[in-house]
Amino acid sequence: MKKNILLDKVIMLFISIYLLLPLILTFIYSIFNEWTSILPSGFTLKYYIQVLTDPLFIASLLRSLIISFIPVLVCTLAMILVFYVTTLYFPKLERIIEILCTIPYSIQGIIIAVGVLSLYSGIGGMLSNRFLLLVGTYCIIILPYVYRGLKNSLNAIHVHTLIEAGQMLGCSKPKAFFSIILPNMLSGIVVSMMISISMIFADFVIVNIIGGSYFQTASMYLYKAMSKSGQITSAIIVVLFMTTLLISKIVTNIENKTKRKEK
Amino acid sequence: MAFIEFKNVIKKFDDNNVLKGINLKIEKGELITLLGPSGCGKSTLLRCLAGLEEVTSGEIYLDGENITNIQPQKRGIGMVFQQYSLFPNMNVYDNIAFPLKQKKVSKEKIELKVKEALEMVDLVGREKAYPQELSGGQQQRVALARSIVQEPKVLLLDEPLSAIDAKLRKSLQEKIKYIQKELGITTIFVTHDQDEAMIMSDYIHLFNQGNIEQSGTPVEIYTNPKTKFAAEFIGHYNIIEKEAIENIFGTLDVNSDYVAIRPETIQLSKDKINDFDICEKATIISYLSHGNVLRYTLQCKGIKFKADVLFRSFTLYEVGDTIYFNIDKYNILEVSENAII
Repeated sequence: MKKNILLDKVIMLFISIYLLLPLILTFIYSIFNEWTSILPSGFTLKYYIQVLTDPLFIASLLRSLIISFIPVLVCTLAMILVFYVTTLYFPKLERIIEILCTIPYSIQGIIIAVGVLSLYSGIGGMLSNRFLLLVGTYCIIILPYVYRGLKNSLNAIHVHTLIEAGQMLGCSKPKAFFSIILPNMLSGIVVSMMISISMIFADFVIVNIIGGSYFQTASMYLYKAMSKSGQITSAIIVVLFMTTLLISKIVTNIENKTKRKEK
Repeated sequence: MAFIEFKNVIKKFDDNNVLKGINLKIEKGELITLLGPSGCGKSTLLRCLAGLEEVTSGEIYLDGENITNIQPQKRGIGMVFQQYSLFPNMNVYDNIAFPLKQKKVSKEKIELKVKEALEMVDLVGREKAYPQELSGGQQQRVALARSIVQEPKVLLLDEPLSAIDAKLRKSLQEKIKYIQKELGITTIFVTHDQDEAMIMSDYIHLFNQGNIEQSGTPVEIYTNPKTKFAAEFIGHYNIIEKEAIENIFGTLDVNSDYVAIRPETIQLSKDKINDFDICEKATIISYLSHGNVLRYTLQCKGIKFKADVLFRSFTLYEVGDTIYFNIDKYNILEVSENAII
């Protein structure tokens, strides 16, 4: 038994090193001066100062955050409403919804992006607004992840019996869904939202095709910086990583607080 | 008018006719049981009363009011489900307080009522526990407390003890019966377990294929089944064709095609006993121990019978023994093949 625990720890250590090593090296590379021989010539934070004081970077980071959150919120809310309708009133539609929501898995992002752009860019008015096109496209891209996350958390509870129990205790069907079922899906909602946010935050292909120069995000800023300096690129990567880490921490804290409040 | 009345209630699921015109009256304060095998329609009838299923046709009255088309939450009915159905994100206190919060009862009153309900189901001190931290029996007691705390007009229990082990089930049966008598709530209990129905009920309605096969007190149904199905389901009766039994015992004063004999009314003996109307030789084929009762299978002139004997050393017979099969004629009951509706 002890041997097994030791083996587990060794495996975990190797995996952690494997996952963290690129980040640690990137960070080390970003905090040193010229590194042309075996050892760097000195320690510096100038690349971080340079990146964080660049208004273009701050603006692109904010754009990345906005475009990561809005489609996820829209898609999650829409899927919750879809589940509300299919669970309570049209259970036979669940199969069709599942097929529809799984289709985006099989289509590459680049195809969706080019398709959306060629369909809507010439229309003019609100429909050809690049931001709205991006939101719509990302909603499609993340749909399978949001669907699967919500569906799994719904499958983990006896939805129909809980709703019936709620009805027998004085709730209407909609109230039972939102006051009993939804709180029990919270973990699933948070997990699927986090996966989707990090997917969009890291995207370059779709935002580059649809947004282009109209909507420059952090990943596009990073792409441009790559040709200038290795250290600046490393500093940007570390800042972006810390940003996603911070978002994850905030979301999990909110989730834990909600759970504690319920308890 | 009865407190609860079903008037020609029919329920169909597509082409499947699950309830075939149920007419049933239930008086206030009774604990009645809907008994029957799986798929006979007993739970469907309960769900129709709760409002969780719409009836295809017919009417349901509760306390003089036609509730056929009223939403479940407005019927004033409490229900305990087989799967407990406690809300996983709420602790015991919040689960029990839930129906009171829906009625916007004051916080002080909620505290008082939850406390009373917890005392009634012996769960004081477990208020902060979550459903997943409780045993099956405790979860079902919370579900019971949650239903009675809202003071329903009727309490429905849909096979509430099916998922609970035998020992705990007995104590919960007593608990439910005690609470029902204490509060005087009209209670409808659904079960497929005839022993449970006998223990719990003031009155039993035996269901078969969407119809009520027979209704009566537990003693009436047990001692006087009217049909083959009732006799087989309620008491492990020996069901024998009239002709076959008359070949052994001679002509009987029976009008039906079948007769039923309760296994415990047959007395076995090594020697001939003259006190009985019928005394015939039989051979022991096999026996099974049911705890305090031994169930013998014996053959008498080509017909197999089951006979129950209390497990005492002097009643032990071995396979192959020839013994005497004794019975009084009044214990041979006539039963019809189908229910007379």
